[in-house]
Amino acid sequence: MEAFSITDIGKRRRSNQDYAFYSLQPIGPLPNLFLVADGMGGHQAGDYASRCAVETILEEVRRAENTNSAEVLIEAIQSANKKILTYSAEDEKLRGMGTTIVAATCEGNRLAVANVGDSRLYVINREEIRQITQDHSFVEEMVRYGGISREQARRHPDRNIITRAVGVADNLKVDCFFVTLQENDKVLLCTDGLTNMLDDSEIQGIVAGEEGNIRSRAETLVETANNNGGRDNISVILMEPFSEEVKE
Amino acid sequence: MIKIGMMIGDRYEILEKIGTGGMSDVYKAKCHKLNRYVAVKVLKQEFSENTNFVSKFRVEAQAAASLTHPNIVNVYDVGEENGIYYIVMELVEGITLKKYIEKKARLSVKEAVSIAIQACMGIEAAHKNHIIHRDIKPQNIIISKEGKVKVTDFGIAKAATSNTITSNVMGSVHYTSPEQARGGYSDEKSDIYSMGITLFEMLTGRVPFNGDTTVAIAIKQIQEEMPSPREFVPEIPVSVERIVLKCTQKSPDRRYQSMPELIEDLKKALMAPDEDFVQMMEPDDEAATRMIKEDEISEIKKQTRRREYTEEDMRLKKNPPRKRRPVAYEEIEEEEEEEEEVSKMEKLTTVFAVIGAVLIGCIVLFLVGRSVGIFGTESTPVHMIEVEGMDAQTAEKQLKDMGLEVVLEYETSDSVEEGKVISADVPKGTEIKEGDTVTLTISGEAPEGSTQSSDQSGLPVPDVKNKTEAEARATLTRSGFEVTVQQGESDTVPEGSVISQSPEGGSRAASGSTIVLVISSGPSSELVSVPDVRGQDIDTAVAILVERGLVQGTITYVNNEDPNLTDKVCEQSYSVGTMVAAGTKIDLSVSQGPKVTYALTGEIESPALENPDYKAGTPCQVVVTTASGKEIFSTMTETFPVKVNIGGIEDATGVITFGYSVTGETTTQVDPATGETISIPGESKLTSSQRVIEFTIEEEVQP
Repeated sequence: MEAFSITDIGKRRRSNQDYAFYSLQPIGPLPNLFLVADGMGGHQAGDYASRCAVETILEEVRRAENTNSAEVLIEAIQSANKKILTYSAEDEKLRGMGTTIVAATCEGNRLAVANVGDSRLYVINREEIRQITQDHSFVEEMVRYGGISREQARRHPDRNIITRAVGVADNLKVDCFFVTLQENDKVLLCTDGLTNMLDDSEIQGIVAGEEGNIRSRAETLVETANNNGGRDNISVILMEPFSEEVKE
Repeated sequence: MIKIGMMIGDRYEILEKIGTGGMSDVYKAKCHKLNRYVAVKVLKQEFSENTNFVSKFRVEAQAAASLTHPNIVNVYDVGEENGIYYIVMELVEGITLKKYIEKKARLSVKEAVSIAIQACMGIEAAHKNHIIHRDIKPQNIIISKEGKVKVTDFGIAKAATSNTITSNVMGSVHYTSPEQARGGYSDEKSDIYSMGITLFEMLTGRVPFNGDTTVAIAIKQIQEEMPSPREFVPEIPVSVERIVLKCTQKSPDRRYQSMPELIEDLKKALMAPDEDFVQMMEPDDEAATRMIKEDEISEIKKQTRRREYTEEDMRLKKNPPRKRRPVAYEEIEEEEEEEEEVSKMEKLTTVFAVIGAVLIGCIVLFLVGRSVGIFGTESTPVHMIEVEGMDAQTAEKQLKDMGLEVVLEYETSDSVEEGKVISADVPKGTEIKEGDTVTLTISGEAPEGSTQSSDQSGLPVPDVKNKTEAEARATLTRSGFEVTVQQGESDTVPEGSVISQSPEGGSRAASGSTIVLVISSGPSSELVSVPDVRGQDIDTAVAILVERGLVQGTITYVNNEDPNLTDKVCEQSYSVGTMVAAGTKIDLSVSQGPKVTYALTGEIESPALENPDYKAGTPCQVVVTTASGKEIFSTMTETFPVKVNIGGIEDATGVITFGYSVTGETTTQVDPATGETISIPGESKLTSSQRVIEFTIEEEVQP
């Protein structure tokens, strides 16, 4: 297994409120862990929310005794939710903060994914790019419930509104997905700073194209997002579950 | 960070925080330059860090600053200091319409319509300047302490941000038009939709579309049929119901096409609420056969008197009600929704829950002076006080201070001292409305000349002095009187308002009898007879007027069929011999000869002619205005040339205005670290360009 992560401020923001973390080594009961968070709220608050979410999740996972990896992820995210809520109630500067989260762990060929908000996880190979997570965003839900078309969603001015976030409300619903990975699959976790700047086919072209290794592909993703405007912070974790070195 | 006591822009001293919203905080401040209090709205830091957003915010705020209207919270200044972006606005002491509705549960039809008229006039002023509000809702309408209605946050609230925000407290989607919910093109008619929802809420105390989530509500805006306000409040008159329904048509083409049209109907509804004058684009049969909602039934259960009528009403519905969930279930859900609404609003009031409330357009101003009962002329419920044994005059005064009408009756009594109140016809503690009448029985003989004792029959006549003619008419008609009007002069009562009435307010008159109102025509003065100046050249005409003690008014150049009158006065604003006050302005029209009209035919070329930055295929608004400012053509297009064929234009020249957005040039930079070339796409900016055009003379001379 091989992975590479980048978080980039982009071209238009004065701070980077994204946070990306991965470990190929076991953490608690999990064989590995991948986390991407996109914080929101004012200066400091947004940074704090994403960092706090990632750190809390790590802490919880380390302590976890449950062997069901999906449950571990969900419970850890719930703890992060409570913690951010508490801090934002205590400190005026942090009020209004929140964060998205996409968390994944890979056991053999089985990938468990949990998410809140509009950061995404994709499974990509030469043939297809599959978005595994469903965005908790206003436009995505409008499409899902038949209010607007996919086309209208793409141009909707309220694309930036998310309907769920970690650290905003007491009862948080975390979605969970399972994927069986194929040999040539690559897994991409990313924030909307990437997906608002590149469409899925561009992402697939870079991730599953002829050229490069995991690192150069991840770098090309961020570079392309910046070239396309870099309107937001960009974070990616690109992971190859069955890379040559590991497969042997 | 803004701190209390700090000075920004070298002139605004921050005094206290008076509100907080999704994107900004609002402070009361003192402007030291003009020595007045103002409201300063400060953009929250997370938004001021976003350069795109800030530039949009500034442009929108500048546009809003160009508006001045009594029904708009005027923007005085826009500025930036050390990364703090702020807007300086008129400080309006009062409460938001949202709070006002919450406080009163729902408003009377008359009050709702009056508030709507005022709000619409403010919005109309913005529309005239091509500013669309895009976020009309009761939270953005403020009722000042003086009872004035003011619309705020023009163009500011919806300056789009790309910051990720949550929809948790997204209250504004309750008022969002279907086209905005879809993310489509929005215009003046979107504001008309939101105004319709606002009017619905004023009338019924609830919003028409509710749901658990923002998305659910947005989808209802797009898909679900608009309920009639009469389902919730059956006494809403037909005209008002139809106004609401016309405003809230799903298709913008079927709504009122402009604010003036809506205002006209609202005014009519005030005068003749039961008349059927609202022209629907298409009859909406379904609306007539809807079932009465459960919360209304529970309301009816409470008031058994009304049950009979409503049950019958339900039987009369032609179609069986649509399939729906069991009543009990829905009732509970309904309540929960309302609770959730309330709690959402409460969340906004406490900064705690503004957590995640960073949402587009939800700027709620919590203004100072939210004292209750400042809206004295409206029917706020009050509780009857204990008056028995009280001195008659004291009791009368106290009740009048509560906004009640008082009628005194006299009766001899052995037990109650003379001059004291024996009883009142309204028991203590009863909830009554302002303007209701309380009859007090006083011990003793009626004082001489007391109208109350000599005339007990009939209805109490409301006092309408100083009210405008329309208001007075509405009040009296509602109370069951006929109205006739005479003109009178007054130095104190403004033109168009009531100087006096007969019978007087507070007296009694038979139901259906006529109340004579004297309406002010302004200050009195000496009268002169208007001379005939037609056929004179303009200098001579003015000389003749001045000789008579009259004043030259506006001079208009017109076309007149009679070639003999060319360059001569052909019309005057008062007919010959009319007696007018000395100093009256007489408007004159001077003929430029028989009428010539012009036409605009052919093709309008792309704005790329003037502005090479315009990219073919970009949506562009094309508006043709004549030299005198009349808009004769307006369209949105993506393709040029645009074919036009317009005749009957009165001016020889005009201007074509194009509105579109351009994306700036892509610039390249070399990264000093890596030596790589980075290209940075330009920013997208709203731009307009203009083209002066000459119209062609139309051959035919119009009769």
